[in-house]
Parts: sequence; structure tokens; C-alpha cells
Amino acid sequence: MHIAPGFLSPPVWATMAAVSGATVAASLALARRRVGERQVPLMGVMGAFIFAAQMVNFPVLPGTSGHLGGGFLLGILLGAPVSVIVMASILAVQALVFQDGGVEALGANLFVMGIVPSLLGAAVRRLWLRPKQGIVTYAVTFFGGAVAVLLGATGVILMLFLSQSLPGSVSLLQAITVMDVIHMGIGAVEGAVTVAVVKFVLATRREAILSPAGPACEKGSA
Amino acid sequence: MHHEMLDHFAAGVSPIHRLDPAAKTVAALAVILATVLVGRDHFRPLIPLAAALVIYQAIARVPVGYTARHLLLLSPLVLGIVGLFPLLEPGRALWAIPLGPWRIEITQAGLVRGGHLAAKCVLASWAAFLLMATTRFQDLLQALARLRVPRVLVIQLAFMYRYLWILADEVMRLRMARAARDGGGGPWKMRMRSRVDLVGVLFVRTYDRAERVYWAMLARGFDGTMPATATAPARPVDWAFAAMTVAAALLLISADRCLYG
Repeated sequence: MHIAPGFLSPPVWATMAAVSGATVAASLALARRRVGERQVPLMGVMGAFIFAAQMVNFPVLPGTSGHLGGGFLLGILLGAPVSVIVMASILAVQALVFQDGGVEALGANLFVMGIVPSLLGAAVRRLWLRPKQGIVTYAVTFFGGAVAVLLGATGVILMLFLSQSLPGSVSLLQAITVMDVIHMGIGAVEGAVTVAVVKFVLATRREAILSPAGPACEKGSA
Repeated sequence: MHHEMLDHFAAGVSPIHRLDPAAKTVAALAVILATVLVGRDHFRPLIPLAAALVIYQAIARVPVGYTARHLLLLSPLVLGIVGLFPLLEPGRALWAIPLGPWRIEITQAGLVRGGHLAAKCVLASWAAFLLMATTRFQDLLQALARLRVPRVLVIQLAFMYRYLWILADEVMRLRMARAARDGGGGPWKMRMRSRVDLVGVLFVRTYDRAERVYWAMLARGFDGTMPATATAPARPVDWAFAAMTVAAALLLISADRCLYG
């Protein structure tokens, strides 16, 4: 879903770069207050984790597969500011090192694949921080993950449309419909896998989500 | 998996490899921005850009085959979108192919539009690729720090890149273990389940690894800051390279705006 270089018009990518840049700056300021030195390696390794998790393909329909985006999962596990910083570093490495997504489109790609899913994930995070979870938490998280993917797909088409980078005979509505239908299966995977992984994490490493700083923080300062 | 895979040519020896990484980064950004700022359907300004990249690649002696493979593999999605233009852009039809009840028309305007987007995409990716093929990632990080990228972000990038390959190996080990158990087959639900568990186990192992890394860092005197390693100061030739590239990029974009009106 990365927007390739050259597809966005200057007003669109410049605006998105400004919006995403401001969001990253705000996240850095927020994270500075909350993040201890202990999180320096944790954040870096979490970025590598999302990279590696994206290597795992989930079967969607026969013959098609999708992989995790990760921003939504990170938003739940780490909260919005840290998640935005980690996603920014992932997308920067994808653009520079792997040429996946344009360098000038980094702001646009970060917005749809990093910022929006992270904020949705952070909103759902409250439900997971309660002592007990039920079907409501699972359902809200599932739909949150699906909505994050569909919003991203819609955002990409909207930006391409504003940049006049869609073929002339295709209307905006047609393009969004096609893109969103294609992404429904992927959205369902994102939602379902996120629910299952967060449940798994809660069952095995509860401290990883309850407080990103974790109990070892006190040990570290002792 | 090893970062050697990507950093292999970055460790080469050439006048380009010796250039200051910050100067190369500025130059690459100038070329990328110039490429994406070229006006709609303007082909001529792309020729000097391509020529500059060919010369850079030749001086740096980056293998052509390696570059070509890399750029062709870029993204099936990009090729898909670009391929749709000739079919869907309205305009004068060059060829019409009857296909049952439909007629597929390939329009001139669509070929121009799709071709131009593809050319821009390839050139901008090529510029980013050449920067990475001639600069070690560690050097790039120092360049970013000198170009005033926030420190937290640079440290984050450093850690992530370092563990990328280790975790990629971890995924491969987990995959192999899974394949050994179920042969990659089974009903949909089971395959889904095994992959979800794989991501969960990957998370737990990653989290524990971060813990171990932190303790190891504490043991080595980590105090929340990363030690800066000394870098060679930029030479006049580095300044000249960056300034000339930026000037050429500005000239190209002004010429594009003026000549095409």
C-alpha cells in the first residue's frame, strides 16, 4: 500500500509531510516525558519486530494473502506517541533502504499506515488495560483494525485523486470502492490477528502491555 | 540474513564512496525532489536526471545487473497502476483489441501518462537506491544526526536496523519449525492459528531480547545517551558536490517551469 515516488502532486505530499512531521514532533515531545532510558532498546527492537512480523503472510482467500500493517498493534501495545515514532522509523527505512514508498511521500505514507492506525490502536488500548476483557474488547479491536486498514486504503486513493494520478475515466467513488473491497479481507486479517496477538501477549507477558516501561524499570534504577 | 546483503556495495572504494555521507544525502534528496517536481507529462527534463544517475553509478561502480534487478522488483502494485493508465485514460485510441463483447482501447494519452509516472518512479527510486548502495547505514545515521534529525529518531533507526536481520532470522527459524510440524498445509483455520501463534511467539522473544539488550547495555555503562563516534570533517570537495547537485536540481526545475510554461 506504500505510495510510490512521483505519484503525489507537490501540494499533496508537502501538506502530508507537514502534518506527519508535526505529529512526529509532538510524539517525540510526549514520549520524552514518558519514556525512560529502558525504552530506548525496546522501541528499536519493536520496530524490528513489526518488520519481521510483516514477513508472515496470512491466508485471506484461496490464492491471496495479506500481512500485518502493525501500526494498530503497536498503538495498543505501546500507546500512540511511541507507536508513531516506531512506525516513522519503519517507514523511513522502507523508503530509503528498500525503496518501498517514495521519499517525498514519506509523510503521506506515515499518515495512512502509521499515524491513523496508531491513534486508533491507542483508543482501543484503554479496553485492554482493564483487568478483564470480554467479547466487547475483542469485537471493538477487530473492527478497529479493519477500519484502520480501510481508512488507509481510502486515504491513499483520496491523495492519488487529489494529485490527479488516477486514470481519467475512473471516478473517485469507483476507485475507493475497488480499493476498499480489495482491502476488506486484509482489514479482517489485521483485526483478527491483532486481537489474537494482544491476547497472546496478555497471557504470556502481561507487563509488556500494562506499562510499556515495565516492572524492570524500578529494578534498573535500583 | 545479514546486512551484508544490502551494505555489500556500500563498503566499496570509489571517489563517490569517499564523499561525505551528509553531502551524498543532501544530493540524493535534491535529485529525488527534482524528479518528483518535474511537471506533468514532461519527458525531456527526465533525460539529464537519468544521465546524472548513470554517471554516478558508473563512477561508484555499482553493478548494473544488481541495480536493474532491484528496480524491476520494485512493486507489482506500481506496475499494476501504471499498466492501467493506457486502458483507462480517455483519449485517442491507438489500438483497439476486441475481447468478446468489450473492446479494449489503448489510448495515447494513457501511454504518455502511465509512462511518465513509471519513469519518475524509477528515477526517484534509483536515486535513493544509489545513495544506499554507496553509503553504509551507520554513516547515513551520522549524516542524519548532522542534518539535525532528532536524536531519539536516529537512535531508534540505529537500533531497529541492527535488530532487523536478527529478527528476520528469528522469523525464518519459527517458520521452519512450523513447517516441520504441519508441512505448511492443513485447513484454513489451522494455518491461520499457527501464523498468529508465530507472531505472538515472535513478540515474546523480541520483548525478552529487548530486556537482555538493556541489561547488557547497563552492564557496559549505558546512561541513556548514545556515544558519538568521531567522523571525518567534510572536505571542500564534499561541499562542492552537494552545492553543485542542489544548484543543478534547482536549475532543472526552473527550466522545466519556464520552457513548458
